[in-house]
Amino acid sequence: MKNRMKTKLLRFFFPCLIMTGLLAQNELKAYDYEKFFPEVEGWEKPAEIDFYDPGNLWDIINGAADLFNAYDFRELYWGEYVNSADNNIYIVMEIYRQGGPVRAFGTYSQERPRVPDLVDVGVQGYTAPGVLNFFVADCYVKIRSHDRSEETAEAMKKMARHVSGMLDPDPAFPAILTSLPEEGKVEFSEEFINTNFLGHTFLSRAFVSAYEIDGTGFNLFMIEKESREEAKKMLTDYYAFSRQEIDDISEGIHRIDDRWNGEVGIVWSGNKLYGYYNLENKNLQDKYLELFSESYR
Amino acid sequence: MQKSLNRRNFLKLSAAGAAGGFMAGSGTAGAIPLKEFPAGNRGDIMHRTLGKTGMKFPLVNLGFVRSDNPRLVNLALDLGMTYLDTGHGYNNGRNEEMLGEVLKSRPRDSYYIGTRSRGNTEEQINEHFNISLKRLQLDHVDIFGMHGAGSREHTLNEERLNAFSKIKARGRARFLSVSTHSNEPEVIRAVIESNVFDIVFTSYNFRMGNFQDLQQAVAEAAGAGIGVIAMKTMAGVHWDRERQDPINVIAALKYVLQNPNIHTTIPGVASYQELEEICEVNHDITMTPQEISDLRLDQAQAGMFCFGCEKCRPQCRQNLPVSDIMRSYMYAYGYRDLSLARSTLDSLALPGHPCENCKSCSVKCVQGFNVAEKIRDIDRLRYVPSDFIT
Repeated sequence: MKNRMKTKLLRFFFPCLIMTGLLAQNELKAYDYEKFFPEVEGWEKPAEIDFYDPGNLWDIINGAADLFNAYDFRELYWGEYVNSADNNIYIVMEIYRQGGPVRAFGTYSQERPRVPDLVDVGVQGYTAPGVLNFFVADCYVKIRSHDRSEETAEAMKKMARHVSGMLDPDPAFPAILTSLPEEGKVEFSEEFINTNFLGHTFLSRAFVSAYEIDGTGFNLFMIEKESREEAKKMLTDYYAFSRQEIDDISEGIHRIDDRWNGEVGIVWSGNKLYGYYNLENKNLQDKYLELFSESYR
Repeated sequence: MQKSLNRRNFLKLSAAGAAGGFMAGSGTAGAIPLKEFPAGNRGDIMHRTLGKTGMKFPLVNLGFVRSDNPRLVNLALDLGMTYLDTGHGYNNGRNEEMLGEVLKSRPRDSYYIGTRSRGNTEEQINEHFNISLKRLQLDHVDIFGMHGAGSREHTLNEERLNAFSKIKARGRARFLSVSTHSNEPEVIRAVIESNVFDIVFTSYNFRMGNFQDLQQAVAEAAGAGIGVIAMKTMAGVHWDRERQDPINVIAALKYVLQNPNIHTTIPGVASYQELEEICEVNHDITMTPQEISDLRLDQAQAGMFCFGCEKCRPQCRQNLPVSDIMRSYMYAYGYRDLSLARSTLDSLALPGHPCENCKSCSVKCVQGFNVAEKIRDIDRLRYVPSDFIT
C-alpha cells in the first residue's frame, strides 16, 4: 500500500465541501468520517483512513476506477482492520461516495451477482465468501477479507450495519427504480446505466431490467432527462446515428434501427423515454409500446 | 514517425534481418521480428509476437468492457481484435460471465483470452482459477496471471509460483503472467528472474514518473523473450484531477505503440465510438504533428521523438534518410534498445560518415532537432561490434 497517495482529508476535502455546498443530509462529512469506521472487538481499528478522489482513484483500484468514475464518483474512504490475535488476518472496508443514491445503486448493480445471497444491510446488500457489499444513501460500501471464518464474517456484518445506520437509519430504494413494469421482471436484474447506454455515447441515465415472458428474454428501459428538450435531443441523436430520416420528431412511438443493437422501440413522453431492446417478438413489441404510451405518460 | 517506415524500408529491414542474422540473441529482435513492424498508413491489422509464447496479437486488443455491453465484445472480435482481457474480480465476476456468454458461440481457436487472480495462497489461486473457468465456460485459458504484483518479493513468492506453475503444467493455462501497477520496473525484472512467467502486463504511459526506468525494464523483458502488454495506456484519460481537460487518448495509445518492445495494448472500451476509434490504431500508428502536440510531451521527450514529416529529406545535401536516422536515435536513447537502433541504421546503407562532407547542416527540422548532432551521436553505434550490443 506504500504507493497509495495519502491525502490529508481536512486539508483538501473540507474546504471543497464548504465551497461546493455538498454538506447535504446523508452525505459523508469531512469532520466525522472516522465515525464510519467503528470499534469492533477483536479487531484493531485502521490507524489511518485513506482518502481518494477522482484524480487518484486509479492509484488504489487501477482499471476499475473507470466504472466508478462513470457513476460520478466523488470520494473513497479506505481503511484496513487487523485481527488482534493474528495480524495476518485483515478486513478492508471501502466507502465509495457516488453522485447521489441512484448512482450509488448503479455502481452497486454493476457488481451484484445475478443471484445474490442477500443480507439485511443498507438498501440492499449481499454476501459472498470474503465479501459483503451494499449500497445506502449515496454510498456504495465494499467490505472484504481473505479470511473465510465465521468470526471474520460476523465482524464484517458489524461494520456494515454500523456504516449503514450512520448513513441512513431508514434506507429505502429510490422510487424511480420501481418505474418499470413488474410483470415478467427477472429478479435482481435492475441496473442503472449512467453513461454509454447500449454502447452509445449519446444515451445516458437509463434504468434497465431484464424480462422473461413465455420463454422470451428481453430488456425494458426508462431514461429520465432533466427536460423535454434534453429527451428530444437524445432521440434526435439516436435517429442521426441510425441514419433514419425524420422531418420532425414528436412525442409518441419511435422505432430506431440500431445497427449494433437491433431494433430499439421507444416511447417519448415529456422528459422521459421508455423502451425495449433485445426484443424481436412483434406482439410483445406492440404490447410494450402501447403500455408505455398509455400508462407511463 | 511511422511514415518513414514505409513498405520500402520495411522490406529493407526484413531483408537485413534475414541476411545479416544480427537479430539472433539480441534484446528486442528475438521477440519482435522486424517484418511485424507497422508499415504505416491504413492497411492490414498489424500484429506483434508476445515473446517466446509465439502468440501474435494485434497491437490493440480489448481491455475492460462493462458487463452490460456484450455486443461491444462481439464487435471487437469482428473488427479483428483477438485477445480479450479480464480478471477474476472484475465486476465481482460478472465480467467473466459476460465474456463466457459471448464466447460460447465462437470457435475456441478464433480468440485468445486471459484472466488473473489476486489470490495469495495456492488454495485461493486454485479456487479463483476454477471459478473463472466456470464463468468463462472454458476448459482452459491462454493466459492466467498474478494480479497486481507490486514488488519483487510478491512476484517471486514461492507458494504463488508453485500454484501458477502447476496450473500451467496441467494444461489449464497455456501461459502465465504477472500484472503490475506499481514499482513496475522492479516487478518486470522479477518476472524475468522467475523463469516461470511468460508475459507481463504493465502500466505504461508517457505521464508515468518512472518512465525512463520502465522503458529500460520493458526492453530487458522483451529481450528475455517475455511478452509485454501495456495497460493504462490512456494515461488517466484527463490531464486534471477534476476531469475537465481530456487527454487525446488515441494519441496516447499510438505513443505507447511507438515502442516496439510493447507487444500489445488493452485499453478499456465503453462505447462503439471508442471501439471504432481504437480499432483504427490497429491499422496505422502514425502520429500526426497535432497528436504529438496534444500529448504535451516535455522537452526531453519531444527532443527524442521524430514524427516523420519527411520535410528534412529534400533539405539534406547528402540526401540522407534523416527521419529514419532520428528513429534509430530514439530507439537508442529513448527506448534504450541498441539492437533495434543498430539494425535500423544497418538497413539504411549510410555512407561512411554521413555528415563529413558538409561544413554546416542544411536541414531545418520542424521540431527543432539539431539533426547534425543527433546523426553524429547515433552514427557511432555503427562502429560498435555487434557482440557488444544486446
